[in-house]
Amino acid sequence: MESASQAGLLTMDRMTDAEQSASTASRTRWEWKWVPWLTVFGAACITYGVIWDISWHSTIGRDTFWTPAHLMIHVGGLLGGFLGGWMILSSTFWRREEWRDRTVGILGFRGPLGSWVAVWGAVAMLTSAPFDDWWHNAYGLDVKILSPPHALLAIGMYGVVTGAVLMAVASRNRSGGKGGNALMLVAGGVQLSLMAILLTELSYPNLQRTATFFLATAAMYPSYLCAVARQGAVRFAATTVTAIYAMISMSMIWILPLFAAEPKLAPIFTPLTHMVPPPFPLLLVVPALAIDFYAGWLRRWRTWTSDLVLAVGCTVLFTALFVPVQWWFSEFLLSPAADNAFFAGNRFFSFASRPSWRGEYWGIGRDPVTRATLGWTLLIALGSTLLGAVAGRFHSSVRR
Amino acid sequence: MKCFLRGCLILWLAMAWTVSAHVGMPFVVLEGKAGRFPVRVVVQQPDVVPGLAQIGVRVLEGKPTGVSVLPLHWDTDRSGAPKPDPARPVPGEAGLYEGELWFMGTGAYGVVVQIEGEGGGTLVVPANSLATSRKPMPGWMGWLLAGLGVLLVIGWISIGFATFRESTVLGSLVGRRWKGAIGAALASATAVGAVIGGQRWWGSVDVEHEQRAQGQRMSMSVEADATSLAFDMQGNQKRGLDRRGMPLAMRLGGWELVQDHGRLMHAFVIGSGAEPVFLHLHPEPGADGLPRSIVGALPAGEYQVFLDVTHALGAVQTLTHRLILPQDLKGGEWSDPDDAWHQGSAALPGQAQPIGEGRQVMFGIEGKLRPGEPVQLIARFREADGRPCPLEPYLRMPGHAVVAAVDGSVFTHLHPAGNLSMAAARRFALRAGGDAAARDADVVCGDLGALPAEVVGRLLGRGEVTFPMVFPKPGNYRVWVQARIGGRIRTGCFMVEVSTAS
Repeated sequence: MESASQAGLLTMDRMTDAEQSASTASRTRWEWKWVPWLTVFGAACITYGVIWDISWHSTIGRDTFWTPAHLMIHVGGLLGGFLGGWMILSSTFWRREEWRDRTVGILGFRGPLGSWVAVWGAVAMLTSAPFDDWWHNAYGLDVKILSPPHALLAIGMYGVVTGAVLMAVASRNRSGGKGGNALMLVAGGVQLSLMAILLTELSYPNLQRTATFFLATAAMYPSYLCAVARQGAVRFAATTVTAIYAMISMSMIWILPLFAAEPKLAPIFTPLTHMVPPPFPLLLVVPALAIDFYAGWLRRWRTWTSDLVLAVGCTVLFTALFVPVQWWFSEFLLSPAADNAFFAGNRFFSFASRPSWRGEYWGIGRDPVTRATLGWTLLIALGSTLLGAVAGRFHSSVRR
Repeated sequence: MKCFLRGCLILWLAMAWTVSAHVGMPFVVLEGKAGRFPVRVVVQQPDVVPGLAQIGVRVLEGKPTGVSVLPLHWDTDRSGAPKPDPARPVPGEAGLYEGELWFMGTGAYGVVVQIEGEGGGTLVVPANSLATSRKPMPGWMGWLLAGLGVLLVIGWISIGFATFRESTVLGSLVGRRWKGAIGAALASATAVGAVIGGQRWWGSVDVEHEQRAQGQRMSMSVEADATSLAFDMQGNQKRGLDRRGMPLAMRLGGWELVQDHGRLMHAFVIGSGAEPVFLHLHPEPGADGLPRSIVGALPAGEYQVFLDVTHALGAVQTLTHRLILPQDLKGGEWSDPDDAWHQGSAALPGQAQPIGEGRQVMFGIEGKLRPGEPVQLIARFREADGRPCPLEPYLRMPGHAVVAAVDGSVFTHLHPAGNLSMAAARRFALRAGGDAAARDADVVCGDLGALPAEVVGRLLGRGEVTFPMVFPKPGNYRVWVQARIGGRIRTGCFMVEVSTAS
């Protein structure tokens, strides 16, 4: 089999002693210790802020630029952007030679790859602000999560979060796997949570028996689980990351309804007295656990062929486990048994939703799950896991 | 080429939209009493949905302790409305309060105005919640976004280059430039895909917005035969209406038409030239089912037709059509005794116009004649000897007025309470406070059938009718005022110039 070094990629578990010593020798500045953590903190602010903001719109409806949820998102974006900018300025003007081996050059400037991506994300977030404002004036205030300016904002936020992940994995890879695992796993969980928010409108429990739900989840999540498992950072990395994703959602399910709030827009079809929680997270932890076992078995090989085998296995495991588990779990979430503070079943509806919509599946007549759906799910998941394997390979190699 | 064609299509749709929209009048004006407080409320309707409605409340007499406003959606009662928002007093403007409310759903909202204090009360102003425009992007913003977009694309491609060239190696970068080129190529491909995909997405949203708005706007054409005008509303099936404006056998959702002060439709036909013809008609279904009005003789020429309708959910629309009569219309016996005809030149404010049998109507304006400022249009009907003419009820009102910009860009139909639909006001009042509130709304709207006989006698005996109005933009406007006197509808025509400097 072709080795990783032959392929031009240096994986963490094949790092040479020279590389490790070089890495350790330059670990002198506080930036390299704290900036990745602070950037991940900024990314977490964005993720929590977005969940809070969705709850704000579902509960109160009316907002301004200065709502606490918006401020949390802005702080996260600014933190990522400024920290990235600081690292770029330091790497370019004050420690150019000292940090040359851990930075990449762009247009004459130097900086860690994660910093460049975070700054790019912050600029995208900034760009989305006037675009979104004009959009509201031109087409009306959007009541959907997905609109072109919101997509640009989401890409920007995702850029900041990805920057944090890249800083985390580079930090870990430079240490030869001796540190930075916790940072990497937290960053991964935050990133997964942000990705999951993008699919919110397709992932309500009431939609979890539609073809669109399974096709969308097959496109999004297998790549992520495969990438995390492929990095081979720690055992059960995918399980840990999905557990962090679940905990982020569940913490908001438990915290948000503690705060009193009421709608300030009409029509109100569902009277509310407290902040609306997000829906219960998807049970991604189930396929993640199986994928971790499988990836652990494959870890002895680090070749393109083993990556292909990993992708195929992840595809099968994700489809075989996630589809039936979520299929049946959604039924529980719609039942009275889940209508409590822990699961928030039927409690995530906004003030503008009609009570008659609760407790039942939507769209199963016009968008049913058929054998063809399952076939497409497998095919899409395969494409997704192949991308994930490549991303995981890259994450285990990135050092700058 | 496809982009060019699509651009042309969008431009054409935008132009068509401008012609058929709510005819340039974003304001709904209501002057009436909330409890013991006489107030004038001006609601500037949003032109997109969801959008922000601006509300101005002028307390004309008395000092309330506060003023609040709340939005009432057409599909809910009071329980579906949020708590009222306090309206802010405007500094330096005694008695004037302002507020804003979000209209989130398509259709109509009732703006419930609550006057606080001893003897306070509420009144409801119906307002449309319909998309009527699509604002173009300001040039500076286009350049700003384009600049930031270029920056993002360059940054993205550069990151792709650096990722492939440098990010995974610790040592020398010699010979890795080609890898960087691969990264830059991949990043460029994704950037091009994102830009094209984003453009298509934007375009589809634009078209969807247009289609949704078109679905809300009714259209009509007007056809003339030897004696009558027929109002054909073909093309309104999306609204659940047939060519007659009658409900189709499908779920209507409140878009069916309802009567407003005694008629299902109020049509106005306005000719061109220095002495334009003016017709006020009330079409009723004819033998072929189409709404039709038999009219008197009508000279050949070009006419602008406006048709006011009220939907059951509380929205109002003005349908427009340009009618060209190639030859004189012979005419016949008027089909409705409340229809009226007038032709003549316009007099200026302060001047008098003859209205037959020696009588005259004088026209005046109170207030600052500026765009966006509320004013009072006053019509005084006088006998030959100068005494006030005793008025008679005309469609449950002491009088009617029509304001139309000479260039056809603005049209509104006024009553003494304002330019709101009585039927819509009643509907929202019923939702807000039940039957008693609905009766109050009739009184506030000046429905003579709802007022005590002595009040009606006093109102009609003055020979004077006032109409609250807000001119939306500078320009020359024709104002037709109408009242029933001596069993006949009398009409006077006046010209008003509104400029920003006046």
